[in-house]
Amino acid sequence: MKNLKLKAARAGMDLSQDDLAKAVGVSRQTISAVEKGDYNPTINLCIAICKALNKTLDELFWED
Amino acid sequence: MSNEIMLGRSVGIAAGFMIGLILAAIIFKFANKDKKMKSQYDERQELVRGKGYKFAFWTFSVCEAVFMIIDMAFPNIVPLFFAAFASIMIAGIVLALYCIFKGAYWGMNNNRKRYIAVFIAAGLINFMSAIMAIVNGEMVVDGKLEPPSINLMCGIMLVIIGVAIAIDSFRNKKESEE
Repeated sequence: MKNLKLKAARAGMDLSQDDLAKAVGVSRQTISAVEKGDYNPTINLCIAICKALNKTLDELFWED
Repeated sequence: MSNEIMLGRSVGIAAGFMIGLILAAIIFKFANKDKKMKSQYDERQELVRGKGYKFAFWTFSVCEAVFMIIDMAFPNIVPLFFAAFASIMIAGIVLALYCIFKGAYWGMNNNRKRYIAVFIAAGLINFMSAIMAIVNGEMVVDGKLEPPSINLMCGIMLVIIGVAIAIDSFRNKKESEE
């Protein structure tokens, strides 16, 4: 399932996939895969993404 | 061919491999941004590469079985060195293509331009050796493939990987612009 919340949060901070990838220390393709729902990140990566985007885990990764 | 010549040739090939490995280690150390020999991958890339190695292993096993069946049906048609090396090459291509198209080929610390320059240089060296062997009539002797055919295989492998890298970077560029 696509993670539109992550995509929206990233776009809200005016960051490209590449910028976010560099901020959390992964490849751009990994961020793309998380947003597309093709890859389930580990909790460590989820936390790193949340910190980079100033969001909580619930806000980005909890399904409504 | 006498035993001494064959032994000499085998030692030469083994020495060539060793020198190649040492050179590759030195070159890749300088091709990485952090000057470390080991490429670093993120968690998804590690996962993809694991699957890639699995597919490469099965490909290698199937190739070996195919070459064994060919050898049983038509003895001495395919030389042992060729069968062994072709299996490694084909498995390597499977691993490389799977990783390239899944975005797990390039490590986080790889300087792509330097790597591509190394690949082009390696490809040219291999093709030049193969062409020289063809010109000197050393590629096929008495209807049998000789060790220079390994250079041709390496060159073809590098071209396949190069084309895949070019397609993937074009696709990536398009995707990151969207």
